[in-house]
Parts: sequence; structure tokens; C-alpha cells
Amino acid sequence: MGIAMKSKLLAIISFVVFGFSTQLMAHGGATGVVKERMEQMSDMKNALKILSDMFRGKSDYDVQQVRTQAKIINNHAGDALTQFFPEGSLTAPSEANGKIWQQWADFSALAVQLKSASGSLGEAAGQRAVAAPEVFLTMSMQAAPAKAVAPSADSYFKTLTKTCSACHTKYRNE
Amino acid sequence: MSDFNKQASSLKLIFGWRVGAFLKLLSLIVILIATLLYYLSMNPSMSHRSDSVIAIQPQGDVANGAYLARISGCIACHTDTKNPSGLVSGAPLKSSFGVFYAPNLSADKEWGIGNWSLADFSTAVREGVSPTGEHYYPAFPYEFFSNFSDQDIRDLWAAFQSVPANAKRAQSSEIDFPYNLKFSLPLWKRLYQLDNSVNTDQLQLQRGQFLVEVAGHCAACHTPRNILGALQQDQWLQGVIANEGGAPPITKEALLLNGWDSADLAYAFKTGIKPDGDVFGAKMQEIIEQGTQFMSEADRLAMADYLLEIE
Ligand code: HEC
Ligand code: HEC
Ligand code: HEC
Repeated sequence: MGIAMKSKLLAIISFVVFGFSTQLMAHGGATGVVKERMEQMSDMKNALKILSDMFRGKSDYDVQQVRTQAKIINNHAGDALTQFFPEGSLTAPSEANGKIWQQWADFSALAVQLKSASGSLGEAAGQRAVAAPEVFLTMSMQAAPAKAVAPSADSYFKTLTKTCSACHTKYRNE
Repeated sequence: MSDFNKQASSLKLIFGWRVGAFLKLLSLIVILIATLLYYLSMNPSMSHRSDSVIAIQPQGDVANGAYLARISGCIACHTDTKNPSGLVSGAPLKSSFGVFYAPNLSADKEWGIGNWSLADFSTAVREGVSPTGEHYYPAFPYEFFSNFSDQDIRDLWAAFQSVPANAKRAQSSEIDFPYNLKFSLPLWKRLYQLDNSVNTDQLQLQRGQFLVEVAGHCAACHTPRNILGALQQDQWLQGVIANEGGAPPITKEALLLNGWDSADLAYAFKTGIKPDGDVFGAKMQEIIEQGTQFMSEADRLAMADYLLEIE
């Protein structure tokens, strides 16, 4: 086998192996800020799982535990989140969308909203909603979930998860 | 949160594959030849709108109609968030065919559907044909709505009639050549004929089937389409690859592989939270926010059970 042939083969093999491993590992291959923010997001994911299990009634509701998990998210929100998004940091395998830097004010507002929602959840952890709020359906989208509900741990938890999704819908390619 | 421009990009998914200039030309040729063959082979009665009969009685139920309008996306697509009276024109729905604006569905006699009869409404929603006999583009997902029952249609009609007239002209859609050649639509529709009747006598599964296949039109995103835009029925709910506006497979096999159970699915349809603590983003979040979160708990479970039961 000639040298050229060998190096070609090597290139193919390393391509296949590398290509595969980035797919297999969770945030495999990520380095620098991309890796750091992925780890940060994963921390929040784990916290959200513990929280949602409690709010669903899959595990016992524990006020102290709600505070602890809300704090983890709170620590990763606001500037602590946006600092890991320097302009143009889109190296593979990042799922971030380039719109982040065109709409930076909106993106950072969502990070701030995450900070306040997780803060409120921690504070209101002891106040459960009396009953699930009823939704009243009309033929107008604007008036949709009409009924105002008194703030509770449940309502802040909803705001919190909506903030995660709102940001992902706009700025994470899935 | 409720930025209905988001729905606009949903359509990109429905028509979401990139059609380059070459493909456009190719599809034009295919459309022309196929249309010709179609007209040659056609049985004359097919060229006209079918005179579907729908009894006016029993009276439609406004509450159920409003529920259906919500979970089927009628309100989301036909609402302009900037206009507080709603239902007068959707946000632009961008697709590789051009830009669509869902029309005014208020009771206005000139710009809305105030002059329509129940039969007109039924033919539009279930057959995709307008009162003047024109075929609608499948950007209006009537291909799924064809399985609404007569009572569903009466309920929807009653609900739409409760929407105050709003004399606003919806913006006209800007459809690219060659897709603006409406004569090819009857052909398109024939390709689209769906057969999604599943034989089951279990009420729970029947309800789930109705919610997934008809009202929820889940296949619009989760089933791939061919070059003419027809759903590939042999790949039902098997997912669409990422660069074509991706959506993951939601077949029983795929969902079980991903560790979903019925309770987790129902919870995700309510909250957008996946079992591992990650949240839905992309188009699925819009579907949850504008549709499934408004379903009753029983309906969300029926959908989950259906998805996990049907092969
Ligand atoms: C201000 C915007 C924003 C908010 C708020 C946000 N995220 Fe993210 N998230 C992103 C972006 C952007 C990415 C993609 C990052 C990348 O791949 O470079 C991401 C990625 C992720 C990932 C994938 C990480 C990986 O390993 O690839 C998870 C999980 C996640 N987020 C969970 C959450 C949870 C849970 C919340 C709420 C508690 C949340 N995120 C809130 C923007 C946000
Ligand atoms: C994905 C977006 C979408 C959804 C969901 C949707 N529509 Fe539409 N609808 C459209 C578009 C786009 C058109 C225009 C199609 C055309 O111009 O060919 C339309 C047209 C119509 C028309 C014809 C109006 C006219 O003036 O001719 C009626 C009636 C209608 N829709 C009712 C409904 C009902 C009822 C539902 C729910 C059961 C619904 N639509 C759901 C997008 C949507
Ligand atoms: C407008 C396009 C669209 C429609 C319509 C749609 N989906 Fe989805 N769906 C998606 C996308 C995109 C994802 C991936 C979202 C993500 O990972 O954040 C998804 C993800 C899912 C998943 C998660 C699969 C997994 O294993 O992670 C389920 C379950 C699902 N959809 C069910 C449904 C059901 C049921 C309906 C009908 C009521 C529906 N979808 C309608 C686009 C759509």
C-alpha cells in the first residue's frame, strides 16, 4: 500500500471514528465556552427534572429541595448564562443559533427572566396552588388562558419552564 | 411568549424541504405531465366540488367547537396577534412555495365567512374546496380534517359564527411559480387522500386516533413528504430528517426506545417538559403552547396511549 493510499485510509478512518464519537457523547467534542455552557445547561436540566417530578407528584414535594434546585438554576441565569455566549461562538457541535447576536437584547432579557422566575420560585416554594387553574376557551387567541391566578410555586414553575422553552424555540436548533 | 409569528415558521416545516431552482423546474414538469394524465383519466364528476350533504340538525355545540378550533390550530393559524379582534388573518406562513396568509374567518359578510352556509364551511374544511369551487392549497391542512365528523363540523361552525364580524381584508398570499398554477391542485389532492382508519373498538384509542391523526394533524410535521409534497404513507410518523425541517419519529417503536411512557407523554404535552428535564423547543413547543396544553387531561392521555399502542 502506497503512502498516499495509507494516509487516505487513515483520514477516512479518523473521520469515521471522530464523526461517530461526536455523535455518541452528549456534548462530546465541545471545547471552551461551548462546552462550558452545555454543562451549565445540563445542570439546569437535572435541576428541572427534580423539580418537575415534585410538581407532577411523582416524588414528594419538599420545600427545601425546591429552593435548592431553584437556586442552581438561579446561579446559572442572567449574566452567568450570557457570559458563555461570546459573539459568533458556534463551533460544532453547538446547537446555538446565530440569531443570538442579532437579537442580543432579547436573548439577554430571557436570561434575566430566567433569573427572576427561578428567584421567585425559591421564595414562593412554600405556597402551592390550591387547585390547577381552569382554562376557559374562547374563540380568540388573545384571551386564551384568561383566568388570572394568585402567584404560587406552581405558577412560577410554569413561568420558569416557559422561559427555557421560549429561549430554545428562538435560539437553539433542535 | 405567544408570538404567533412562530406559527409562520411551522409551515416551513410542513413544506420545509429546500426546493432549489432545479427541483422547481423538475416538479413543474412532473406537475404538468401528471396533471395532463390526470385530466385525461378523470371521471367528470371529480372536477366539480362534491355536493356533500350535511344536515343542519342537531345544533352545533359552541363550547366543543371552540375546543376543537383551539386544539386543531384553526385559531393559531388564522389569528393575527397584532390585531386584538383576532381570526382575521394569520401571520405570514413562509414556505418554499411562497408566503401564505390564512384568511379572515370572522362573520364579516365581505371579507370573512359571514355569507357562507354550513355546507360551504363543511366543503372547505373537509374537502379543501371554496364556495366558488376553487381548491385550497394544503397550507390549510384540510387533508387531515377530512375525517372530522358531521357533528364536529356543526360544532366548529357554531363556534365560528360566534366570532364578531371584522371587516378586514386578509393579505393575499404570494405564491411562487409554478405552485401558483392552481390547476394542478386537484391532482395534488388525489395524491393526498389519506387512509388513516385504524380498526379499534377501544374508545380510548379511537379518541387518541382522532386527536393525533385528525384534529392534531401531527403527521404534518412527523411524516416525510415526496417531491410533490404528498405525505409518504409508508413512513407514517417516522420523522423528517433535520435539514428538511426535522421532526423526530413518534412511532411506538421510537417512543419506547426513547424511554417514553404514557404518563410522561401526557405531561410533556401539557408542559413541554421531557422526562429528563430538558424542554421542547422548535416547532413542537408551539404545538404544545397553542394546542395540546389546552386539551383535557383525558385527551392528552388518549393521545399518549394511541401513540404507544398503534403499530
Ligand atoms: C437565554 C436563553 C436560554 C435559556 C433561558 C435556557 N437555555 Fe438551554 N440552551 C440555550 C442555547 C442557545 C442552547 C444551545 C447551546 C449550544 O449548543 O451551544 C441550549 C442548550 C440546552 C441544553 C442542551 C445542552 C447540551 O448538552 O447540548 C439543555 C439540556 C438545556 N439547554 C436546558 C435548559 C433548561 C432546563 C433551561 C431552563 C431551566 C434552559 N436550558 C434555559 C439557551 C437557553
Ligand atoms: C397550518 C395553518 C392552518 C391551520 C391549522 C388551519 N388553517 Fe384554515 N387556512 C390556512 C390557510 C393558509 C388558508 C388559505 C389556503 C389557500 O389560500 O389556498 C386557510 C383557509 C381556510 C378557509 C377558507 C377561507 C376562505 O375565505 O376561503 C377556512 C374556512 C379555514 N381555513 C378554516 C379552518 C378551520 C376550521 C381550521 C381548524 C379545524 C383551520 N382552518 C386550520 C391555514 C390554516
Ligand atoms: C409544526 C410541526 C410539528 C407538529 C404539527 C407536531 N410536532 Fe411533534 N415535534 C416537532 C419537532 C420539531 C419536535 C422536536 C422538538 C424538540 O426536540 O425540541 C417534535 C417532537 C415531538 C415528540 C418528542 C419525540 C422524542 O422522542 O423526543 C413527540 C412525542 C411529539 N413531537 C408528538 C407530537 C404530537 C402528538 C403531535 C400532534 C398533536 C405533534 N407532535 C405535532 C414538530 C411538530
